[in-house]
This record gives sequence, C-alpha cells and structure tokens, in this order.
Amino acid sequence: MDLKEIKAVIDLMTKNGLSEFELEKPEFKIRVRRGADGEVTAAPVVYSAPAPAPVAPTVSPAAANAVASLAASASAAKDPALKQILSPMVGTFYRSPSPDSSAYVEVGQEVNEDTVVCIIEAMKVMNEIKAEMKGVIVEVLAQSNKPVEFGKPLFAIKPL
Amino acid sequence: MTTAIDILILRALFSNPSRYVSGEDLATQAGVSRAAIWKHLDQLQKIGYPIEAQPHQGYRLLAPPDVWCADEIAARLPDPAPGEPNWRVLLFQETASTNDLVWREAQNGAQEGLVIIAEQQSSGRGRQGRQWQSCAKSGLYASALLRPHWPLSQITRLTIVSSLAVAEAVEKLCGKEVRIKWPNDVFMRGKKLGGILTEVQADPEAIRFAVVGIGLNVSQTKSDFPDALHAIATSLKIETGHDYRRADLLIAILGTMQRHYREPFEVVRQAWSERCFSLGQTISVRTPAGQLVGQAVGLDENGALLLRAESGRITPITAGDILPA
Repeated sequence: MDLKEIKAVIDLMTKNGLSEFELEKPEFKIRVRRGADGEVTAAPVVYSAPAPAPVAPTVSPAAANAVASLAASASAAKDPALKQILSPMVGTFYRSPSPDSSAYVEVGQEVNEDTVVCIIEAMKVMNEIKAEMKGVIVEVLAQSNKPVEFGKPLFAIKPL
Repeated sequence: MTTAIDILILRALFSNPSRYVSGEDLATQAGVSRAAIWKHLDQLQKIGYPIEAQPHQGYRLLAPPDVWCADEIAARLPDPAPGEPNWRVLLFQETASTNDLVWREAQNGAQEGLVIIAEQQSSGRGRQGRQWQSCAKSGLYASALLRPHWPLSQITRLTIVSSLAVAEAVEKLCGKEVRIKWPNDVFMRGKKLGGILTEVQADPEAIRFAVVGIGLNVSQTKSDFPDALHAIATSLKIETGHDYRRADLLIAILGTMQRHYREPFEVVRQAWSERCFSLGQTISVRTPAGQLVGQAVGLDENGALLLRAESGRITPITAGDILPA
C-alpha cells in the first residue's frame, strides 16, 4: 500500500463520515482513525514492508496531517527491530519540564523502564510518561507543545 | 513529645470550643499522668495555642491564632468513610516544593492519603515550571497523594474534584461566593484566589499515583503581590478583611475532597458546573492547536470542556487556557 492509496482511504473515510479504518495483510497492518474534532490521525502502525516512497499530493490540511504522521511512523519503523512509545492519552505533549529546561530525553540517549521521556498534559494534570523498556531513543515523533491523540507515536526506540 | 497525646488533647479542646475539658479525663483517655498532660498542654501553649486553665474545671481553648500544626489537622479531620483517603499530614518548615516531597514519598511506596504541608515553599511552581508566589505564613500550600484505581483516561476528573473541593470549602468557611474557571482555578470576585497542580505517574494503562498540589492565597495584603498581579490575583484577607486560619481551611478542603473523590462523577460534575463562570458563555480558548471561539456548554464525562462552535459542532477541549473576555 502506498501513500496515494492511504490518501484515497482517508478521502473515502472523510466523504462517508467513517471514524475508523483498519486493514490487516500478511506483510502489513494499518489503522486510520478520525478524532472527534474531525481531525484525522494515524494510530500506531507496524510496518514490515519497506517504507513507501514519499509523494507530494495536494490534500486537505487534515489529510496532510495524517499523511505526515504516517510517514513519520514509517520512517521510524524502517528497522523492524524498532519500537514506539505511544501516547496513553489525549493531551499536550511536552518534551521538557519547563520551557527553559532541557528535554527529558534526546535522540541517541539510552533509557530504561523508569526513564521519564515526556509529559502529557490534560486539564492541568501533568502526566509523566515512562519509557517502559530498555533502549536507545532513535527519533522524536511528536512536536513539543502540540496536541497528541490517544495512541499517537511519541518516540521511536531501539530496544536493548 | 508524643504526637498521639497532642492529637488527643487538641481533639478534645477543638470539639468543645467553649467548655472546659478536665485534665483528669484527658489523663485517663491518654493513659498517662495528669502531670504528663500538663506538660503537653504547656508545649501546645508554647507553639501558639492559647489554653486557659481554670482550677477544678480544667482547660479551655481560646480563639487560636494561625498556628500551622500537623497534629491539629490530624485531630480535627473527619474520619474517612470506606474507600475514602485516610489523610495523614506532615509539616515541613520550608521546602522547595510540597509536590516534590510527596512525589518522592509516593515513589517509595507511601500510601494514599499522605498530605505534606509547608510553612514556606522556596520554589513553588505552577504548570510548565511557571513560578507560584509563595510567601511565608500567608498562603496555604499542601500536596496530597492519591492512588485512584481509575483508567488513565479518567485522571482529568481529579482536576474537577479538587477544584470543586477547594471552592466549596472556602465558600463555606468565608461565606463569600467562590467560583471556578475551567479547569482548575479558584476565583473570588473575579480574581484568582488559588490554583491546583496535579502531577501523575502512570503506566500506559494504569495510574500509579497522583499528587494534587493546592495553593491558596490566605492572608496576603495588596503589597505582598507584585504590581502586575493586582488586577488578577487576590487573597482571602483582601476580599473579606478577615484573617483565616490555614488549618481551618485545609481541614475543610480535605474533608470536602475525600467525599467528592469517591462520589459518582456525575454528582461532582453537576456541582462543579454550577460554580463555573464560563459555562453558557461565549469564550475564546487558547489551545495548543490554535485559538478557538465558541459557547462553553458543559463538561464531558472526564471533565473536558465542551465548546460549541457557531456551526453547532461540539469539540471537547482537554488542553487550553480560557482567555479573558
């Protein structure tokens, strides 16, 4: 499945008001979910196929977001050994405890089960998220100070 | 000093505000001599409780000043109903942040109900490291440890429960209307009186623990606030002209909170909604996704603010600041 087909799926979902689409085949599995606010987001995607070639389709902003986050997941999942840390809740993603302090984790940093990797804030509740596994941070998949959906990949991690 | 005896004495004195409590009765209850009771009473006098001794009648507590003492709070807290947190209060003279102390205890396995209070916080903070002005003796700073067995998606309910508890308790004690700005700010006559910072450690599915930090401005005068805050911040002293005891406030807050914590959320949501000054109004909200305008129509089942756009579409908001009208 390439990005054009994914875009076609999203367009069909938008047109028909579908909120979720899931497809599983031997070599890949994809799930696309549209949030309650109409925004389209990609849920955790596991690829074993090579990453699709990037395309530059003209799409609506919502669909563009979805494609961008699919692409991000795909690039982080080039290596089948990589895992992702997913957002356990809807909220705002913060990479550091305050704007002036350094990030909890950087790319290349080794983490363990108890390492705090970020904060997700919802309604002034600051939720510390732990890595829950031993590994090295390979990529940051979400933008600090921006909203994240449930299940959104936050970090790609290479397990040790 | 044996804390248990102090608690026993303070409970007897506070629950009989105008009557004399017999020293002999206290000694019998505590299982110690009358001389030992007298030593404890003397100590309590020294830390600030005005206790009047009357021969043949016993001891009576006169109007106490703002003594900030963990034993008094333990003595006066209502007993928890089944399932409610059993509060245990520890006092620190000065700490960087009460939330940090509770957080550390929670990681070491402390049980639900631990409350740490401080006379002064050297680096009190709000969200994202924003500074919280903490003055010695003039504010109430307390952090409580909870271990709710809720799905992580419901953790936001804690903000609603805590802000309601603070608002109700303060209103009951002061007799002046206290309102709430979604989701966590407590207001009196349009100015901010206090706030709540909740910090949570969670597994992907379950809440490990939550630390609810409460900051309330009590006896600050106008000159205690920087000029920039005069228009937006206030204290109970400024609004009512009265001096309130922090212990009275904290006891009322914890008592109200333990009740709302176990109540069905629907009940909490209803009471909270009646106090919120944004509901029903057209508001602007600055969210990480941009600024939204709409009518605030209510809370969803986890406390998110429901905003109805002109198109009629309703969006639940979990992150954002309501902008001044």
